[in-house]
Amino acid sequence: MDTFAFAVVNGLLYGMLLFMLASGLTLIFSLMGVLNFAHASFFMLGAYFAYQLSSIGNFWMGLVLAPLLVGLLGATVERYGLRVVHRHGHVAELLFTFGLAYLIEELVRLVWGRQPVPYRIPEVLDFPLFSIGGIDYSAYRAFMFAIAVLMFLGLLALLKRTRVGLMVQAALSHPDVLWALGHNVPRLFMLVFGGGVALAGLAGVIGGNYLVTEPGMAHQMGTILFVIVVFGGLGSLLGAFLASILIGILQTLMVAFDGTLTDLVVSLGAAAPQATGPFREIWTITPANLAPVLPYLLLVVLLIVRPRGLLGTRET
Amino acid sequence: MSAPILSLRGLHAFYGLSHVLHGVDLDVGEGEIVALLGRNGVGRSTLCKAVMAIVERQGSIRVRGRETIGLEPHRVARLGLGYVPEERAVFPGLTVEQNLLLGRHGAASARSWQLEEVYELFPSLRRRSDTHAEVLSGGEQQMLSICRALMSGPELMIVDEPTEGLAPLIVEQVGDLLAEIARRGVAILLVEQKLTIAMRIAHRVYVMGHGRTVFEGSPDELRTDEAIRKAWLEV
Ligand SMILES: Nc1ncnc2c1ncn2[C@@H]1O[C@H](COP(=O)(O)OP(=O)(O)OP(=O)(O)O)[C@@H](O)[C@H]1O
Ligand SMILES: [Mg+2]
Repeated sequence: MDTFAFAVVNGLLYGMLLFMLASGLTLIFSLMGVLNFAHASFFMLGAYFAYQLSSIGNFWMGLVLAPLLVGLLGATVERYGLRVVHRHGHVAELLFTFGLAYLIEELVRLVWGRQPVPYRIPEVLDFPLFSIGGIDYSAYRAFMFAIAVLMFLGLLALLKRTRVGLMVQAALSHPDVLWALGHNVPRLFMLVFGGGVALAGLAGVIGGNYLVTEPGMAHQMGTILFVIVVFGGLGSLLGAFLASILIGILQTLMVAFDGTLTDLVVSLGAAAPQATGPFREIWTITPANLAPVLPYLLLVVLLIVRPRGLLGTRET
Repeated sequence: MSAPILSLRGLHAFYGLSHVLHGVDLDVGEGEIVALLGRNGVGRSTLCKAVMAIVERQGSIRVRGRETIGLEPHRVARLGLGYVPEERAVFPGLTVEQNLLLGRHGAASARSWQLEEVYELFPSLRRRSDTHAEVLSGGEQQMLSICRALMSGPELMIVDEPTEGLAPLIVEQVGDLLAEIARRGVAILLVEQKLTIAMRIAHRVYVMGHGRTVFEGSPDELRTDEAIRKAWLEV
């Protein structure tokens, strides 16, 4: 039971991390109509920048500066890349972000090498905060949690309470009208793109040392992110939130559960299945093996049952 | 007529490959209400969008003598143009007051209106100031859209089919509101399909057909020109 509670809490944390990426991606998509395939690459850059900054200064420097740098880079990419490509339509935009993802990955390999870099949790936060049933819960995890919650509240306040937030909400439905009312909509797009990838960068800063900082992390995160935004319903922030938490918890639970499928069936009260015949391998699969498959399975099933995604308004 | 606020010469507009305006000439003078009439699909809304720079265009569009053909929409608006788009286009999810506040852009001048002044002009918006714009009735949304454009203190308002789908009583109210705005010195380019309020409040009338203007004159001249009405307006 304790392992279960522990896994749920960790899953929640992982889900929050996913949402830090999914929220920016969703905002960018609903506003600009671009599914940014390079979104997770900015997450990776956040982690690498933070590693670099913490090796010359300290973790806190990275926490503040890395997301800013990532945001600036994102704004530049929007201003001098996406905006130019935009004139040639959505396919060109998609290809552009696709290419960008590969470019960033190769550059990261070139600069920091193929192996993981030793980006570590800051020592001040590297102690057990409390323990449940003999398992320690580290202070760093609580810190990550706090950052994610703060980011979420900050984003909400920005969207609901500020003038820029009003402009974003208006541009969601009638960007041309907002533009013709005298607001600089292209600049708004640049800000949202920069801000969105800065959030991904922040997730990279606090997640890079919790997970592993290596050149493959963008690709890994990118696929799961894609599942989340489609699953939640493209363009729905609430949908992205639910999908992030759901997939975060499910995946963590499955990794935490050790034992085979046979054990699972037995624990549900059924008789142990006969492990014979050509499919006997199936009964020795562990849920941990299945964990990477699950999100895609959910996605495929959901798209058949409900093509709009969980809370989306348009067909995907 | 003094130097026109808006002056179009040889204006062409396009949606990708489809060429919708074929050389429009049109002027709006200071404080004037000019109606632009025509059947569905002749390109009246496209003309409004071309002036506001939100559709691809060629030719000449002068605002107070200044060429705007190369400007972006927000730059055009900041020269003193207020846009009331087709189908109202209020911002859903935002309240009436938030919609109004978005009518005032960053470069709004001393001419810009205060919330109070707008509420005085149309009191029922004050009562509904905290209501989400999308739940307003069609007539209220139209008033909101007009008042939103007013917030920046424009010298010219471009109003695209403000009476479409509204009950006769509300149509009258919209006409009165526009006439009141014009009385305060704001010029209006009013796009309409029906003749009702256009003939009542306009000083001059243009009729559009096949992407060009085919008639220009006073409302009375149009009233007596049966040939033009038959050919370009009546269905
Ligand atoms: N976004 C668009 N893409 C392609 N063609 C368009 C677009 N909008 C309008 N058109 C076409 O351009 C022509 C003129 O349209 P416009 O909206 O200017 O007409 P209108 O005179 O305002 O009439 P109404 O408002 O009654 O439709 C029409 O033939 C229409 O089909
Ligand atoms: Mg129209």
